[in-house]
Amino acid sequence: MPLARIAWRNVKQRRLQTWITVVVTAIGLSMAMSAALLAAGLEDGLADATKPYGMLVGSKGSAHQLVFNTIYLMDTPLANLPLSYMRQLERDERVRRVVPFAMGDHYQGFRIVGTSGQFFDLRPSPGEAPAFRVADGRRFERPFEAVIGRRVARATGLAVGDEFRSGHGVTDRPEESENHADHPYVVVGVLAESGLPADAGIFVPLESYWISHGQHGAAGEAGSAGTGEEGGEKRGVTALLVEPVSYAHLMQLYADINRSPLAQAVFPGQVLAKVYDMIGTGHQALGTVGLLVLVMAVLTVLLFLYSAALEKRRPIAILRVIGAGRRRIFAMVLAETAVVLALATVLGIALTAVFSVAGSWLIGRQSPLAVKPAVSGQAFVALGVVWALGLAAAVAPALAACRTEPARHLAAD
Amino acid sequence: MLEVHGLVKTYPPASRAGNPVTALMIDSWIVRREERVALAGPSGSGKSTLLNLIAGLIRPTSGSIRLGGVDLTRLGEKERDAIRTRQIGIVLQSFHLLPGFTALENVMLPLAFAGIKGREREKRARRWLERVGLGERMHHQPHQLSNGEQQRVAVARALAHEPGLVLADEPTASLDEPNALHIVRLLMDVCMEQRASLIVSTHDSRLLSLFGRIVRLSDGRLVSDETVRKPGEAVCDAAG
Repeated sequence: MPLARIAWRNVKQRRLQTWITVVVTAIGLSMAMSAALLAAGLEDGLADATKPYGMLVGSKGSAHQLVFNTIYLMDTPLANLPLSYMRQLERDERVRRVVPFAMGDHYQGFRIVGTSGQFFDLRPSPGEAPAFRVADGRRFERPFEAVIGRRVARATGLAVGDEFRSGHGVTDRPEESENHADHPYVVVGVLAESGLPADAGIFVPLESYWISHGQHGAAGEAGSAGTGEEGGEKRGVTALLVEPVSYAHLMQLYADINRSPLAQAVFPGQVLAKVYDMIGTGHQALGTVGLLVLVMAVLTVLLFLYSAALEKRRPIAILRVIGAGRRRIFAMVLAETAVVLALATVLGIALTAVFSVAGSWLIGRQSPLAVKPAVSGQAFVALGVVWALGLAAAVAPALAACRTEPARHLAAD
Repeated sequence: MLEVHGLVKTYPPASRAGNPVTALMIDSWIVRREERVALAGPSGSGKSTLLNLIAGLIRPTSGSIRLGGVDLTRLGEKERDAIRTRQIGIVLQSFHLLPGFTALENVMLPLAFAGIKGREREKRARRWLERVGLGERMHHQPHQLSNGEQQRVAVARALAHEPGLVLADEPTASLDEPNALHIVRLLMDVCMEQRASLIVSTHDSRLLSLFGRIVRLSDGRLVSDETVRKPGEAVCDAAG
């Protein structure tokens, strides 16, 4: 009879203790693994979101704010750049394309982004398909036409042909904000789900912004796209995506823009690297908590094995009498531990899937970031730690079991 | 053939002030092939100690135990385990079947330890369970069997690997009289069929007449060794 089968029978004999140990170990394992998967997913999500955006230009201020506001549709916008500055960049021979972004309005809390039709041509990398594809309807062509992200469509129920009125500002309390009641938008397209923050965005022609904010006439108001001035017009943009002709031009432009008193240029990837550093601290804290939970889980395994060793002195003595050598007894205890760990691993992976999906759903609910749990080396490390510590914990009870004196436990007189 | 010479087993004293306890001291004792020997004596007389020493479950303080010409006392634990797996069958007082395993699996286990492969293992275990009259209860767990049935499974388990020597330590102590008689007869019959030697410890005087040789122990010493019948000779029906 194979060792694994004997081990399985022994484990089945102690159902309650086995399941308690399996569940505790699985919970510990899944907490550590799902934390690792979500952290990796968050990093991937942050990185994926920046791919279509090469170099961002905004007014002087926080680079994080510029990146988070423009790409992740979070935080408040920086002050506007004048339209003349955008025109100047468009005329620059080193620039292939400029895509403007004007932020400052919302619909039911979803950010409205004034941009140009070129936004829909942005690609994660040159050979790839456009990142923001219109799945239903078409791109906007005229002011007050809107293309909405898939998440916006799901959450608001808006569909192609529907009208909506935007609210002013990027407040957390959309119900308290003032509406642009005179300029309703018409939904003309819905983006395909991209898993990027754009799923939670509403994209409209830049002109719509200027017109609706011209109605306000809110000159000098930071964070509103209609406050710049050009030839008497109150027009401006919150940020620009600048695509250079070549890599050499990119570096020149980067240096030139950052030298100017008006604007800053940032590479989202570099900003993200700093964000990762910040996440790293939290990651370490999570890792430490995860490790502690794992150690507690392994201690449960140890308790299980010791109580099993005490309970099983007689069956082990019987096995010794009918011919099982010490090595076989040792291997049997290890096999029993392996059975418990295997069950904990299966349940742990299932729980990890549940926790990860729940975690990414929670993150997605509270931010425009789409976090897809990603395969992470740390998750495998957690799994390895559980197996290594679990089997190590089994060595002492296994030694105790194989030292069982059959004559002592089966004596007749 | 089993040969015991100068066998001594002492245990260390329970306290520092005490003396070592001599559990067994036998100058010379031989059991021939196919002999059926009863070890008689009160509790604590050394019967189990002698059987444990022969089985290689404990080591003697001094002396030798030769089985088929091999001195078991000179062997390492691994070799003694191997001898036990192949040449010795053991029946214990309280049946000691493994819980969670069916009767069939309990009989198959020692065969697995003896290195007998899957199908042959099952075939042999089935044959032995049928031989002890449990063909219909092979898939029952120990707790689903009566005491007598459990001991019959234990007999099948001890004999399945077809050992040359069967040791039974108070195999009838947990049984009523009819079952006790049945088990002893069964042990004797199957040992005769297998041409195996049988040593049974018992303090039940009613069973002694079934054996061809009766060895009495007292305080760890062999006090009498009486051969009633030669090996292979028919057993009279004195005990029932």
